[in-house]
Amino acid sequence: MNGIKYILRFIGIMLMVEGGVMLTCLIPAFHFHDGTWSQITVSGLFTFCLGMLLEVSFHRAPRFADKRMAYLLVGLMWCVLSLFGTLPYLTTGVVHSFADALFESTSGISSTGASIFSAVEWIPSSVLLWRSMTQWFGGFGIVLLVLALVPSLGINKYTLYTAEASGADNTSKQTTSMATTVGHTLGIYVLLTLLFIYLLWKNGMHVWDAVNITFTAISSGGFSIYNNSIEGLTLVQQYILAGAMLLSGVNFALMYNFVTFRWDRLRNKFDQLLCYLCIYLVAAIFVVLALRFEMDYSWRESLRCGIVQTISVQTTTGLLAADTSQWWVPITFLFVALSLCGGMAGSTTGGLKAMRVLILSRNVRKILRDRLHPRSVSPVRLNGHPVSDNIITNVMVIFLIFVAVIFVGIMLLMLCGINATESIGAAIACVSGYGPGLGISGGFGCYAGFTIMAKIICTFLMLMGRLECLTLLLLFMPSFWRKG
Amino acid sequence: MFKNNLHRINEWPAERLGLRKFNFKLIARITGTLLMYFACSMVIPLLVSLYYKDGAQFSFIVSGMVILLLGMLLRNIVGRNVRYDLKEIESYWITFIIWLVVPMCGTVPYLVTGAIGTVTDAVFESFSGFTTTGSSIVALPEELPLSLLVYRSFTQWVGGIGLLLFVVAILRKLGIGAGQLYEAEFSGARHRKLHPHLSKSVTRMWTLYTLITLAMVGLLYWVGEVRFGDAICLALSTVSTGGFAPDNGGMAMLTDGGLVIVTVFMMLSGISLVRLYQLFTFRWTHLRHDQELHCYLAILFSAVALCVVAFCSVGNGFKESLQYSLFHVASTMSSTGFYVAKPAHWSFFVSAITFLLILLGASAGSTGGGIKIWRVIAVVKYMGNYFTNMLHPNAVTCVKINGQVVETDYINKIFAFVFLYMAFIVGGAFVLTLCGCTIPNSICMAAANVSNLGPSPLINNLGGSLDYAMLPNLAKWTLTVLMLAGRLELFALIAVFSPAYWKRRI
Amino acid sequence: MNIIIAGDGEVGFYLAKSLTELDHNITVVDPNSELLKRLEKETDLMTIAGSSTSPKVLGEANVGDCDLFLAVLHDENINLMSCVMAKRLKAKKTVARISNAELLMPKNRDMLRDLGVDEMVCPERIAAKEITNLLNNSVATEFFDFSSGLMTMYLIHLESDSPVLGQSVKDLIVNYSTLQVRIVAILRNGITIIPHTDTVLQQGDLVYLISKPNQLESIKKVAGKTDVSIKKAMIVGAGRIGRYAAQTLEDKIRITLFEESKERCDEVARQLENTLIINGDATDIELLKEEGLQYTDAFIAVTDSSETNVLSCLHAKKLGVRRTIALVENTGFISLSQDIGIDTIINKKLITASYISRFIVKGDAVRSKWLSGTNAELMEFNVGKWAPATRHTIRELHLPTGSTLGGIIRGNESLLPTRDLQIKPKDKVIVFALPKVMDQVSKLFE
Repeated sequence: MNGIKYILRFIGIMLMVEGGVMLTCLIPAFHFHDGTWSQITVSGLFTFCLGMLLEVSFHRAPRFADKRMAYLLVGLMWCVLSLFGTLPYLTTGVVHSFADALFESTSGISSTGASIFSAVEWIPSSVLLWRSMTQWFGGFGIVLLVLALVPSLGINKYTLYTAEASGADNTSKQTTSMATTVGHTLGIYVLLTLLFIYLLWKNGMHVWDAVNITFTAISSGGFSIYNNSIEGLTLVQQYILAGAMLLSGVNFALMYNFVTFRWDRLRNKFDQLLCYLCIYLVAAIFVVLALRFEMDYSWRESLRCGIVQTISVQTTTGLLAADTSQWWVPITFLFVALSLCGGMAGSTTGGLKAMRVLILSRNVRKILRDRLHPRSVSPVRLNGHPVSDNIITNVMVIFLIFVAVIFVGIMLLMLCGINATESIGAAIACVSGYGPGLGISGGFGCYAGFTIMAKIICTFLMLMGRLECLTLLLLFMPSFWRKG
Repeated sequence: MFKNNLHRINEWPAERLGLRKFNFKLIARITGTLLMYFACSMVIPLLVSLYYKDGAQFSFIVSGMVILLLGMLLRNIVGRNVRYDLKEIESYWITFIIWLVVPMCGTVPYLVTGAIGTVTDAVFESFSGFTTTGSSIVALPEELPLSLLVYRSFTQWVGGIGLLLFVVAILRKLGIGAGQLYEAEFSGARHRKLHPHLSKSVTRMWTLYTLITLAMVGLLYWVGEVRFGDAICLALSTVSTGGFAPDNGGMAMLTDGGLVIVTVFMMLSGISLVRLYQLFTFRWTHLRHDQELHCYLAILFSAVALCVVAFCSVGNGFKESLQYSLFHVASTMSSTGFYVAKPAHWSFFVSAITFLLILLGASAGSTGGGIKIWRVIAVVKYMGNYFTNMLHPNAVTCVKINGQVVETDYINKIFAFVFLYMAFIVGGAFVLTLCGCTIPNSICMAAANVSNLGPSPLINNLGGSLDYAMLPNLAKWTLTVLMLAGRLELFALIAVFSPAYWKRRI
Repeated sequence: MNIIIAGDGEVGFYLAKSLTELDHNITVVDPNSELLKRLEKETDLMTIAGSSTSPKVLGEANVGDCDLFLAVLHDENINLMSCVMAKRLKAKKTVARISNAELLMPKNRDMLRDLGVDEMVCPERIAAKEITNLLNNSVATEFFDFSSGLMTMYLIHLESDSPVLGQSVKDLIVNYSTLQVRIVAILRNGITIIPHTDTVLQQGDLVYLISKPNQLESIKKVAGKTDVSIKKAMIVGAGRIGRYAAQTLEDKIRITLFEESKERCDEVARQLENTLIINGDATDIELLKEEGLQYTDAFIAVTDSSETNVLSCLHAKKLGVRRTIALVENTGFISLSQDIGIDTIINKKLITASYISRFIVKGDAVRSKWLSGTNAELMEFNVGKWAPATRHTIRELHLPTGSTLGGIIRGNESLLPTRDLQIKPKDKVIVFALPKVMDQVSKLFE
């Protein structure tokens, strides 16, 4: 019971942060006079006060030292965040049904980028900023941020870290405390954001647009403030955004080491980086060639679309350089596979992550070698260091669960009466965090056509994907709820 | 010194290329012997041809001669002065080469009779046969000579029990132990052999396999009232979980009784041969505690139940739904690939279940394909343990099936297998999309062929066609590779493409 | 009775000492002459230094004349071999201590009997069985069935909420007329008291009861304990005892098994199906808590170290675990551990000894049990045809002081002794006796 109180207290802190963020949306509300300031204030204050109430009433809740509570805490926090994130949509009347609002909010918080809006330019600017901001915070992992920076948590923060990103990259922890690691990462994140806002502004974009687009690009989210995503931007702006997306798929620790001139440490992640870039390169070349020769785009267009769209897919961002739903089927299929693959571990991207793909394939090689030399001792290596069996099995389990979750998702969506292509597209897009699916939900399309049930399933899949499945699944295990 | 040089001259010039030294002569000799046996087996379609007077007898004589000559060439000329020692690495190569050469030679009768026009098509059909897949480019099989249909099903029957078991028998004559080959063929699970002597257990398996087939022929002929030739075709294709049907009319020649017979035999062939042997020799204590068998039956019947519910809920009659679901689930799970006329209304839910069943496949050690139930049990148990370990980081767990511990190394292999399986499906599906198939359709087609299922109504329902003849050549070759990969349980196929298997260690 | 004990450890010495007290002729064969010297100093017996598988040594021990040959070394193979040899050298009866419970299966038992091993005792197995019995039967801290359940001995710990505190035995009979039990002994502060009608029951007493069947409900009332239904148990130590206990219990209740050594964990994980095996130190209280010690119904500490067992049990008790069982090897610790509140103590030596003593006691003692915490023994006799006891009613029987009559089993009927009852031939009697009067008692019933 104490555990529950303690959890409520943290949810309170979380809500206070979320309310605060909501209130910042007042700036565009006043600046652009879009007439939403009262609604935004109400939602922001409500969230903030509720959080404050929880915090104050459970301030003295005793600490707990239970692993299960840590998982519960992380799982609940994400759910609550998405739940309260619906307020700006609902109060301003941009969205009428709760399911839609929840879908949009979760898609933001989990930095997926699947949207129920087919056109967005009519939406008040404050709500647009809220949309982008949820992605920026969610992409970084706001839960982790709050947990890491609150002192005296009473539980091992590393546990929470694994609960949020299930053992994604065990080498990420390079400092003595979680808080410092998170601090470094946050520093890089903010820096990158500012840099790209500046670059976009310098290249002729309005600050307001630059802020919004950078927020969603750097967090690998993918909400846009234009009806046709980023297709209408100038060539330079698009390439800058491609750069932003490319960096969003790189491990933050790697970037930190790079920026602080600790280049000797770069070697630790070199394999993953190479894998990430190689996959990107091969895919991009294929897409460019396919666009040029199969779809008769001009070289200029195919280069633009190929380079920008491929990185957007691989980092599971979901910004669109063109209406991909009309593209040649093999390209869309490649995109589906690519979004499953994802960027580097320890970045904002979703999907399986390059490191896992690397370990999975190297493990196959190891098994072949073992067959030939049954007595040989030849571990799977990453950056020259042997990978422990634990990590390998962890990767395998996550891979399988990923596949299973996607499969169940497809099955459920099909039960809701959505056809096979669209189910496959939507399930994979939601779990991997890419956003646009196939068919009506793909390209410049949206998820508005889905039934309510299907939207709820997608919402759930997005959360699943963001938490890498394990944590949420654990909450559904009967053994989790058994005493002792 | 001189002797040493002489020895070198006899070797394949592998060293200069930095390749491993192989005992190619032995491989050639074994392959040749196998081909000769295969040529002799042409007698069966020949007899059918003579009995039914379908006019294909000369084609079979010619094909038989061609294959025989080829076999003799390999056996007696290439494989002269052979050294009888088989290193482990060569046993992997034998697996691959035999699975390549024999189905290739299997194309001869198709080409000679002229039933299939192009080489690509013939190769596709032949591989589809030997790998017990059952995908066919023949749109109207009933227009082919009956003997050719028997031949087609016969390739499945041979492929079902595994060409390598032949090899094991041959090797016994040569006095070479062939434990690795046995493993290569039955790598799904570590089974206890039926007999301490490998060749004896192989013989027992053959006997059992033949007896089941004969029983089915008899039942179909007398109880099911099927034409004798058709009964042979059906039996050969069912027991091997192949799926070449002698007609394209959805089993139209079968009475209700016949359908039941085929259904039951499909279910049986999804069970491990070892377990079947125990079943028929009344050693039931093993069966009673076999988790894999329990699981197989549980999945089978719960899938049937779900399908029936799904069909009834969209407005089909109960009897019709039940009959179809039983047949469909048995066919899919055992990876046979027969299909009958569908109920009037299809349900998406059945499609989803079907896809799941395609992936799961049959029991390890059976002739069926797929990931295999045994592996699935191991993986699921391991996942359970993984969740336990998340909550209790110090917990020590291990996976046990039938009270036998499955080592972590082996689990890792299973995981890798599943990963490869998915990779093959995705890769195959990608190539199929290049050939103009829709995404769901290519995924299903790739999955059905890797699992050696072949035609599945699922593909039809996703807007595709079961007529593989319409596909471009690229797709046919891709599917051929997928079928072979599935039959060789992936590793054996990709092994020969990994450098370690042909490069000499320095 | 001539008894040869081949032993190399505490079980052997403990047996030797206790059997000497019962006036048997004991010869101890042991390879370690130092230990033997010490033993010879303390007790009145003969020792021979040497291997028990050497025919010469066995000859020296006069194996041809021995009535009972006990092989209780740690190595079961030596035990079996010694027994086989002793039997061939004309020992009348041989008993081997074994560690592999597989040999106890009936068909294997026959095979070994043919080889010359008459009886086998597996202390770990018996200990594990005791643990499972105790968990199934949560009121008594110890219990023992006579004549397949016609009479049962319970050891009850009187808690502070028991309604009978301050009452004398006489009051008890009056106030609880439905209670068909007889108190045979009370263990108070480590002293065994043979109660008479005026003895007053106090808090903390350990009461030995002999009861008719189906009395459990009323006994529960008297003891003042609510029934503990055990759903989750923790076992610490995956030695043989822990393993056997987990094996028998795991299908009925949820078991968490702690073991420090990783290798042992792996080994055990292969044997057990439904047990959660945790690799960790039993004295790491944080770990125990994390694994839900406070939600556990029973805590069983059976590591090799008695101190660890006692301490971790105490901790469990403090956290509110209702049932604690500790394996204590040092017999000196037993009463101490019971005093500080551990519910049940398991001792391999005592268990083995009481099991073996069934082969020893003269007269037709069918079953006997040596009780932990006291040196007294409970015995079940077949009353002989001409036994002196059959001539008088119980009132006139004059049992020696230090012994009580617990119950009488006549055919399929169980009777509690009343003053006017007369024992008949072919009855079975259950007698509680201190060792010094054991012989006198057994003579009465011969």
